[in-house]
Amino acid sequence: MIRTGVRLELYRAFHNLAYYIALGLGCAIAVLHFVMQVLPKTKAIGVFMNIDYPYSVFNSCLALDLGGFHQSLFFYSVVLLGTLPFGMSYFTDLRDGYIKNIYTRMDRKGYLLGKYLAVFLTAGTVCIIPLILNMALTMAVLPCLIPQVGTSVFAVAGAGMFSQLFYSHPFLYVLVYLIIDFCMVGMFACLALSLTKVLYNRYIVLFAPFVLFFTLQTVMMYTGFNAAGPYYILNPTQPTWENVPTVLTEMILLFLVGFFTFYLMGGKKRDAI
Amino acid sequence: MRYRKWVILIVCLLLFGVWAYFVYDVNERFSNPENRIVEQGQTASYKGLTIAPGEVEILSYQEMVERYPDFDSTYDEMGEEAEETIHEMAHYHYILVHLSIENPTDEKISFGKESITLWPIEVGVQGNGMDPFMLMYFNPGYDGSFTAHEKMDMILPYTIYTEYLTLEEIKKEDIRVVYSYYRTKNYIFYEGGERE
Amino acid sequence: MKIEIHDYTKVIRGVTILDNVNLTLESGKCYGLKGKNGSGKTMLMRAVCGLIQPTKGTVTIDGEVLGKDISFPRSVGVLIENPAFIANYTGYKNLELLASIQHRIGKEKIRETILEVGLDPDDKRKYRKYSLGMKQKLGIASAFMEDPDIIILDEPINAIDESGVAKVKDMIQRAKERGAILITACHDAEELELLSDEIIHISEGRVVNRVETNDETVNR
Repeated sequence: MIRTGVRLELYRAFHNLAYYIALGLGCAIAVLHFVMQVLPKTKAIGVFMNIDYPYSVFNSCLALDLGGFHQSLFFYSVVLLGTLPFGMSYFTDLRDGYIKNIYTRMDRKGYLLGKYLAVFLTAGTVCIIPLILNMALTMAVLPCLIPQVGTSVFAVAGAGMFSQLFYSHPFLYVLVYLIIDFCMVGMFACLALSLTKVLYNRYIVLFAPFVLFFTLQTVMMYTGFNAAGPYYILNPTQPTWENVPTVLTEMILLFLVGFFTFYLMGGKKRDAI
Repeated sequence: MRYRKWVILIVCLLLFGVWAYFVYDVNERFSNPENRIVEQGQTASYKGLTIAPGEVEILSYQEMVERYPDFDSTYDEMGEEAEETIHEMAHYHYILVHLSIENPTDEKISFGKESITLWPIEVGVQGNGMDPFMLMYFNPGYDGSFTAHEKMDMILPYTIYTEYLTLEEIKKEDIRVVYSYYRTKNYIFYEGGERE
Repeated sequence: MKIEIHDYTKVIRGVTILDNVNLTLESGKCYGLKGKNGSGKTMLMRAVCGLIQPTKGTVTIDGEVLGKDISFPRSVGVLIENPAFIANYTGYKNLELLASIQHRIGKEKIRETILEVGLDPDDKRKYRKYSLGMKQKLGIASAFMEDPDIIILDEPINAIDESGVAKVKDMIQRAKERGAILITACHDAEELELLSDEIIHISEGRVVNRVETNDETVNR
């Protein structure tokens, strides 16, 4: 039954116009960044002093473009984009009555687990696919030159998280951050499922994870716990130096709060009215 | 359409092939720099000059003040900002790289836009540029050029913020003073390990 | 097949919606629920489907207690309140998705059921473009398509044309003949009498009395 629930919800999630719209918007930002920020760099690629370093994929792609407008736009909006495909689905299933069709055919556990997984995966893919697309486009026009510490043109400071990895195996660094971003955006989007129990408007449910994300970021900034700001955690350029314990703690808390409020408190015991 | 999946697959493979060619081409034209190192006791030639690295001093602020008591006087020209800068200096460790640069040619050589002041230091994954005020303090005769057949002994001063690395960590890390990044990465190399 | 509702009470936010309901429902019969708006008819239907948890009491289906031995009846088709489907899928696609959960029927059976209710299985229109009557017909099709042992129909003939009503009656009759238990509610008293073998009067969450449609009163 769990497999059935997962299969059904994954099918609904990925065969859904909202998913393609969200993905399209993310990819549009990625392509815009490539056209407006990366392509102009190709004109200057061979023009440098010896002490300079040519533009590299690892300081030009969307994920690692320090302080770029498109990068900020992407990482601030990605939680909203991630929630768009399927974040409201539990709310609509309940309010519209579709859940009656499900709960009279399969065990709730399968449906709820499938729902969480579907929202998590759609949100995560909406986050990382544009980043991968942008990186692939950038790799086609700029070289994959290994980052150099002393050039000051690479975003990751020596004091940052996984800086050793960045300066020795930058592709692995990007991979680690893709995993972090996938999980963070997925878990933020899943907060919409938990909030379905307390909110009565589908658009408020849609925007709630983004509002929470923004609020948490602002609060962390103003209380001095910058490293716990979710925008800073998502951003591979590490505007504030991250550390593994903070990132892990935040991810674990997000998962525990999101999953258990949805599954145990909200979903499994809830009357399907 | 029966063949739709095959058409999509072929198109994807073609696109992948085109992409892979572009990636190969750009990385072939701009490959990773070759490393050329020069260590203490060796010499290297760069833009007509001969570079011979000497010792490296790794000092705390206190040690710096003891050894070079008036080094902070170089900031007097900053006027009002001098006091704040001098106050900040206690938050750094100091790395002084001794080297000699000789011009064996018959003509005066200048680095031009690529001044020595642009040579950064790399300590592990920490990096920093050179302090231009301290450069003048330690090398008062340096005017940016090297007279024909003359040898100049220089001290290149660098700082590392104490929060980034402790003195012991700096002493254990590899140190690189880079004077060229591309197409070859030319640098003075001091191997990490137990240093006094 | 037997449904036993024993001392079933449901209280929501201090309001008693169902109050000590005791009923036994047997296979091969259609039970009509009659009562004013808010009397508890729909809530009783939800209780039988396992969609709500009782405050007190049990629903037992063939010896298995809902909420304890089983989460929902093993074989049930429901149409409660408005039909609800996925707006961007066609009618056929919606039913195919639901049928894929339990894998009891194949594509042919889905097509057959859609035709039976008077819809076109090859209609490319998305569900959101359906008229009210078409949506209702699709809801009926989803309730009947897997030949369930229990069928719950809340206002089944709402918005349906005359030919559709005749088809629904025919489907109810065939379901009874194969031994299913049907529970229905209808605002039209006359239609309810025609559809049902027994009328159960509900008022303020309580079963007031039961009347067979040959006019014999059954004691509670």
